This record gives sequence, C-alpha cells and structure tokens, in this order.
Amino acid sequence: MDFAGTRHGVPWRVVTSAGILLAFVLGTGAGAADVRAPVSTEKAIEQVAKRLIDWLADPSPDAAKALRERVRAGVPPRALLELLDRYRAAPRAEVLDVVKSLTGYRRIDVRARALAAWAATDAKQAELAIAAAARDVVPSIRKLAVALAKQYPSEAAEIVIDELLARDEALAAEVDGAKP
Amino acid sequence: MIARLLVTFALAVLGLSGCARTLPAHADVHGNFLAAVNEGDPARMRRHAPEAGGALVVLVERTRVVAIDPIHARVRWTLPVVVTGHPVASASTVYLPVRGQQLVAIDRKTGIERFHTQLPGEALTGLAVSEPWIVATVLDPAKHGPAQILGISTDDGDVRWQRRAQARLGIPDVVGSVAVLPIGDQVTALRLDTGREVARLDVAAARDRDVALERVTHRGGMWFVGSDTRWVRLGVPGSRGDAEQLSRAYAQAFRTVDGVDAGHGDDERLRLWLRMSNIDTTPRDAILLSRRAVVALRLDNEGLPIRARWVHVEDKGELVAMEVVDDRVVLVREDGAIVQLSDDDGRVVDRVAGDEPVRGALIIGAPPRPHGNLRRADDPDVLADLHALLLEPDPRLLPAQRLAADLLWRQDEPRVRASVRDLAHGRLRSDDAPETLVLRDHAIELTGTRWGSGSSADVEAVVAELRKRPAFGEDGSDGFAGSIRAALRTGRPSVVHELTALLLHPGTSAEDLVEIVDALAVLQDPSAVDGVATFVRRYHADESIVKESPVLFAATRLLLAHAEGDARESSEARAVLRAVADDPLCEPHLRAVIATGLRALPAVRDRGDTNVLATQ
Repeated sequence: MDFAGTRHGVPWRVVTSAGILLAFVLGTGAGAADVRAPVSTEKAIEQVAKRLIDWLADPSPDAAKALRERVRAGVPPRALLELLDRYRAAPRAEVLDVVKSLTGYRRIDVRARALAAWAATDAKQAELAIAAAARDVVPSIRKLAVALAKQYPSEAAEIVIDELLARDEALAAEVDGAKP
Repeated sequence: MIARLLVTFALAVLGLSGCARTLPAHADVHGNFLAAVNEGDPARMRRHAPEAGGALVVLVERTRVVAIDPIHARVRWTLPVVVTGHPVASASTVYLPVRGQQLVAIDRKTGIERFHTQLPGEALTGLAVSEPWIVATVLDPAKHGPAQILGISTDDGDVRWQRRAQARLGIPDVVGSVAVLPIGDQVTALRLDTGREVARLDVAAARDRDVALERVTHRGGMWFVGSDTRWVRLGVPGSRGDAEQLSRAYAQAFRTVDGVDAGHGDDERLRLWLRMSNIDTTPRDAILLSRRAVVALRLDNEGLPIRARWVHVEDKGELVAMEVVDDRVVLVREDGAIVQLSDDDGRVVDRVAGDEPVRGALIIGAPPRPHGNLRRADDPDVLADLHALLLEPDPRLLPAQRLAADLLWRQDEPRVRASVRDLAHGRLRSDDAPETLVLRDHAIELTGTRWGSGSSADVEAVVAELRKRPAFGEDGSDGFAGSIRAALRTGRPSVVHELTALLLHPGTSAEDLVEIVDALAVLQDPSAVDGVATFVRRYHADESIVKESPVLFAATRLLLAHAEGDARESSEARAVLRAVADDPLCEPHLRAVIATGLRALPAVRDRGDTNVLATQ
C-alpha cells in the first residue's frame, strides 16, 4: 500500500527495514546487557538460548509448552533477543502468546524485538503490534511503529500512524526531517 | 399516578397537621430510637428543662420504682409498683404501665399519683404522650379485631376515644394535634382530640424491602417508621417510603415489640443511639451500648462508622439504659448506679452509687444537642482504647468489639489498620474461644472490604486513577506516586490487583515500581503474591533490571514476608523464591538475599510448594 497522499505523505515512507534496525539500536540504549558476563555465565546463557530456539523450531505441542514455561520462569534478555529474532524470521503462531508477553518486558530492546516479531506473524497481528507500539511511552518504540507500518502496510496501520504523528510532534518532525 | 397523588396528599396532611408544630411537653421515651429525637427547638426545650425539675432517672426495679436526681444524687421519690411496660414522661408527669393493665400518672417532681387508668386491652403495645393526650395501643380482648387505639386525657386519665383496628398496631408517636402509628403495612394519622383518621399511607417498603413497621417516630420535621435496624423515611413525595438501614447491624436502633411491650428486657443492654442530621435524614453520630462497653462514633454520609469519638468500659456490671441528656451521656448500671459521661470526649463527669438491682430505666432531661462539640477533639486515647477493647475476653463485648474492628479498619493510617489484620490472622487473640473465632471471622471479612476514611466515591476515584496505564498521550506523565499513597489511606482490595498490574507494566517508572512494592508491603494483602512473584521470576536473570532500582530486592523481601504460613499464597511465594534461587543465571546479589531469607524461614512444609508452581 502506498501511503503517499496521506496527511503526512511521503516523509515516513523513507523509513525502511533499516529503520527498524535503527530503532532497535536506539531502543537498546546503554543497557547493561552489553556488559559481558563471566564465561561460565555466557555459556549458560548460550545454552538457554539454544534450548529456546530448539523448542521454537520443534512443531510439537510439548515443545511449545516447554518454551512457554521456560520463558515464564525468567530468561536472561540476551537469550530472549535471540529467540525473538528467530521467531521474526520464522513465525510460529502457537507460541505467539509468548512473544506477546514479552512486549510487556521492561527492557526496550526486548520489547522492540517482541513487537517486531509479533508483527511478523501475519497481517492482522501486524496491525495489532503496530497499534501497541504506537502507544508505547518510549519514543524509539513509537518510531518502530512507523517502521513496522511501512513494512506491513494496511489501512488500519495507516490510521494508527496518522494519529501517532499528529500527537507526537517530535517523531513527526524526525520523520519529516528524513524526507529526501 | 393515583397512588402517588394519594401518598402526596397524605403526607401533606401529615405535615400540615403535625409536623410543623412541636409541643414543649413532648418528651423523650426511654431507651429507644425516640430518645434520640431532637424535637422542635432543642435550645428552647433545654431552657425549659429546669422548670420541669431538671434531669430525672426513673429506675425500674422488680417491685418498685425509684426516681433519682442524678445531678444532686438524691432520691426524689419511690413507689411500690410493678412496671410491666416502658414508661413515658412529659414535662410534668411520668406515666407508668403497671401490673393489672393499669396506667399510672405520677407527678414528676413529687412522686404523688395524679391518677390511674384501667386499660381495656389485654396487653400494652406502646405509649406516646403529648399533653393533654396520651395515646396507647393495646391488644383487643373482645376479639373484634386484633388491636385498639386509645386516646386518654392527661388531665384526669379518662379514655376519651378508642378505635378498633383490623391489623396489628405498632408504637405510636404524637406531635402537635395528631397521633401517628403503624397499622399493618400502613401508617395512619389520627386527630388527637377525636381519634378520627385524617390520613393513611401505604408504606411500600414494608413489603418490598421487608421492613417491619413496629414504631413511628418524628424528629426534625421528618417521620420515620420501622423496627430494629431498619426504618423507612416518610415524606419524600412519590417515593412511597425510602427504606434505610445501618449497613452493619450492630444493635437495634428501633425497639421491637411484636405486638406486646414486655417491659424492660435483656435486649436493652445492646442498643444503638443515633443523632440524626438536622439537614437530611442521615445519622451523623451514634453511640453503641453493648453490655459493659459504650462506644461513641461518627458516621459517614453512607451511615457507616468512620471515626471513634471515645470508648467507655465499665469494670463492674452491665449497663441497662443509656440516654443522651444535653451534653451528657447518662448510663444506668444493673446495680442501680448512675454514670454520667461527657458527650464530647467520654470522660466520667459523675457517678452515683447503686443500691438495688434494676431492670431498666427511664432517663428524662433536656434533649441532646443537635451535634457534638465541633471544636473539641476526640479522646486522644481512643485508638488505644479501641485496641484494648479488642483484647477483652468478655464475650458480652462482642458487638462492641466488632464495631471497634470496623472503626480501626476505617483509619487512614495503615499502621493502625494492622491490628485488624493481626486479628484476622490470629496474631491478636490467638485463642480458640468461640467469641474469638467470631471476631476473627469478622476481621477476615473486614479485610476483604474497603479501608480508610474515604467515601465510596473517594475509593472509586483512587481505583480509577490506578487503573490508568502508562501510555503515550495519556495523562499520568507525573507518575502514580500520588495515587499509590492515596490508595494506602483509603481503598479496597481491588487496589492490590491494580498495583500488581502497574508493577508488571513495562512503562511504569522505576520510582513508581519502588512505591508500588512498598505499598503492597504495607497493605499485606496475600493476593499481591501472584503479581509480585511474576515480577521477580521475569527479571531475576536480568542484571540491568536488578540494577535499575532496588525494586527487585524489595519485591523479594515482600515474597519472603508472605512465605511463612500454610496459605496457598505462602506456598507459591516459597516455590517461586526457591526456583529463582536455584537458577544459576539469577543475579548473584539477588540470589544471596533470597537464599538468606529462605534459610531464615521457620521449618517449612515444602512438600506442596512445587505443585503450586506446576499448577499455574
């Protein structure tokens, strides 16, 4: 869908999937996740991430259940990020509830990845994910909403973004500034 | 429509004929709702009180009546009569229903008999006096109908008129030139001089809301009819009677007679006195007499106890009668002693020693003030007194103790409310006596209701504020600290749900998270465990969240506080803490705190804890 001609017109069309990555970087901020843990911990985190990804790839209900329970029990953010990236690449609707639960995570990077993964599920879920991102208190996540709307265009998404940019002057200015 | 017109007409007749006038001789009736009535101009009545001989306490003993001047501690007169019903008094005369179906009129000052009258009925239902008339309702011996109404002259005791009624009659009241009394599910107004019916009102609430119409009373220009703790306010055109009741029935506000006035009885040792507002019909003050204890309190606009004014507990003997006379609360003890308290702060103003056991008493004097002394503070020790009352093992004090728990729960200070939680959890009064169990059940029930002094609207406003979630474009950019503190002062259990939802919301600021967990720790509500456990579990392996604020440590301590005990929530708290501490990826400092806390717990039963986690 071409958003040219909407109230904000072309400017935010320039936000591409690269913009999503940018939003992730902004969202990550100075999070302590970058502080490397001791080697043994690193290894343990890798193992958890691998297990999560294995469960995600396994189509059995038992694997979905195991994934759900493990995430609920609390997982280091780095493992969650890997899980969410994998989900975004190959969405699996049976564990969408896990992804959606992570959109309530306090860390911005986890939340942003979860929203992007949610949007990747299907067109309807993308609309919901964009609406959720547009309501977030963090500017970089709202910026992600714009990027997701570009990536998964729909009439509903267009309305959400129009309303967002009408209220969020800073984001609107940023989007206008990105005009070629 | 026609019914409404009739009701409006009837009320208009009632108002025109009686409501607008008050005879100065109209007197209080002992120990019942009427006694709280502020008829007409209280200041004027107070001025006339000395002319009528001042305050008088008529002690009803088994075979005699003794009138005592409580101010000078002097016996005014003594009469050898057996009183069978509740006496009434005018400014000059005391009327005693005595054995043999007789009504005796005694001069209030001298004790000399003015006349006596033989009542035609088998048993007296009720009396009301407004000189020159006494109205009595009696059971009809002739079986022509269930009851009779008599109009008796106070000049000579002659029965000047009598009417038969086809339905049960209640206790009448007389104001101006009319007598008003319940008759079945209706209220009728009769002319005092002829007994002719001038109005009759169908009280729908009697049927619709199951209000027994046992007595009528008039106060402050308003008519009430009802019994026990429920009454109907008459006089709102078209309302067909608006039933009201004290939300928690501590004691009778209306005396119940069920057709026969059996005289002073045991039930009068538990009585609620109400001081109605002179603006609307809501009670403003109340005093509960409960055997040995007296608790004075303020009521909120919804008729609920909101603040204790003072507490008085008699060490020796039960109290059989209570009346508010001007600025004093006059109490009569079962041994005949008279105790007078200040209405303002409950301090003992005077005591008169007793002699013979008494069954009840009629306390006559100036009417109570229309409101308490607004400038004088409550008894500063009242909270300590309420707490001490809760600890009394005397089962007779149970009604007062229930009220004390209610009053403590309405305090804004969580530290004060903690005693009700202690009571609910058996930390206060840990014995298993039947009365303790009843009180504990009451405290458990209470902790599931709203707390603090706020009104229902205040509580709704607090909950509505907490229901908001941080979101772009929404109000609340200033955070939730104000709303959280307001919820600590006044709120209801759903506040806990809103607080835990805010705790788990990603947009809640770190400062608010700390406020939330602190508030949940103060509220001590076990229903917070689920949300707090989710929070700890979700972030225990996230170093950035652990370092963001002290909230994870505070949440951990809160779970540890709930981890003791056998409740499901305690089991869940233990299971989550163990799981988190066993996770090698748990942030090390957090794990250390949890491990230390778990070790400090009493030897716990951990068999079922894992199951709790698994079933979630």
